[in-house]
Amino acid sequence: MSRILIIEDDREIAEIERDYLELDGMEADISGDGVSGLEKALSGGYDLILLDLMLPGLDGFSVCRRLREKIEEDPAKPQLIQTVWGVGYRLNTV
Amino acid sequence: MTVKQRLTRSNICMFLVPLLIAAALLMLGAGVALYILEVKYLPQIGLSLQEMHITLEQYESMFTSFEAFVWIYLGAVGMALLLTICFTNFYLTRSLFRHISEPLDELVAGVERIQRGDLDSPIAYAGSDEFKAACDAVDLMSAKLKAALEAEQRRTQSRKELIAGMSHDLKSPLTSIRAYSEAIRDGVAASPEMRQRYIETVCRRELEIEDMVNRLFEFSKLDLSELPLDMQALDAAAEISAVTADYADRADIDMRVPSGCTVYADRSQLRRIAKNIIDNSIKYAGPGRVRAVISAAERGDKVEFSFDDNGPGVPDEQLPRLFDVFYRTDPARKRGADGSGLGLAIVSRAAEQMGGKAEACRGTLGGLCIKVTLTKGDGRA
Repeated sequence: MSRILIIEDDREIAEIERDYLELDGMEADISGDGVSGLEKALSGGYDLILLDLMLPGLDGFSVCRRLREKIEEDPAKPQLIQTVWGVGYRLNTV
Repeated sequence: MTVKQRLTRSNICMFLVPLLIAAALLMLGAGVALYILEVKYLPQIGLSLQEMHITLEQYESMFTSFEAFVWIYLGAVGMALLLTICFTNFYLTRSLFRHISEPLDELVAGVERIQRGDLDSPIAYAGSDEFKAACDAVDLMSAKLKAALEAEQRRTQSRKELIAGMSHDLKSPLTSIRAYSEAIRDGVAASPEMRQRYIETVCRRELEIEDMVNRLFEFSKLDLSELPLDMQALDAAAEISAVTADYADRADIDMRVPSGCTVYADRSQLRRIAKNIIDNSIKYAGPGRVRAVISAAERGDKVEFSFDDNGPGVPDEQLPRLFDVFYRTDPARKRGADGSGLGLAIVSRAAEQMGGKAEACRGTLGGLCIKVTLTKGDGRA
């Protein structure tokens, strides 16, 4: 079963994402801020990280940058950045 | 005609006109003297005017050299006088023109600077003549123009922030509503409980949008001074207590506004101010239960309300911006719920509309202190 981490501070958005993912047979965890999201992501075991950009504490760009530094040994690991402004926003810039 | 040409012409006139009048008066005087001589004095010695002239001609040769001397002397004196007048006139005209042209040049340069958009370089005319009033008036106009432009820039910036803030804050609930509506449509809710939760989420987020729009409407009315105010002397303690009573389950509010303290205000706006400040304290509360102290101090014909809280506070450099629309000390905060971003802006506008002001400073409880100054109930004009 695929494991997905949702880093999103809007609890309702995170929950509906989880519901959709679980409906498709995936397992999803939620993290409500950048710092705890980064810790969880680094703990490993996730196939996909849905990362919001505007987060309290540590924003999505910083989380993504640090994640990339840490998981260079596995560059194929996909990431998707999303914000309320639209999924995929600035995906190529990070 | 230039001022210089006018001055030159007036000086020539000042010289020629007295000269011509003097010549005319001399001729008139000589004529009158001859007439009196002929009519009154010469008949007494038995001579006519012509006989006297013939007699004088007989002795003319005796006075030839003396006459020449007199003419030369008179000519020299006249010439000296003429030169003195011309020189004095020329010097005075030039000096006067310089005293006019220099401040005029400064004035023109100052106005040209304003035309170019430079409102930071006043004329600052140092003289104390009539031009000072004109230069000072231009400087004052420039200062007022600068203040008006800055106010307009602030208003424009505020509008931009308002639009950007509203767009952003509406996006979050709208995204939720769309996501949950689509989830209901797509049958994501696996159980009746989940379906109920989705519907409740849609309703709650819709209410957030409604509340936000209502606050925006209220703010716009206040900002445009279009909100009708029913100004009256109010019992401050009673009005604020009516608000704090609703927060008994969420915050410990120590009400220290003395009884008998009256304020000249609109009831609903006064309550709105108190509510928004308390909401703000709760919204940004640190760990633990929210504590707040509300006090009032009379200052002349004003009364200053202080709303102190025990929250995390705000860095000093951000305090003046707290009343800007959609200003956030943490830019990552995204929830537009309960009208965040407009609460303190409404406080500030409401206080201003009632002839007062709102300020932010460090609180005595370690958090934020919002001070709202309004006119005392018996201090109104």
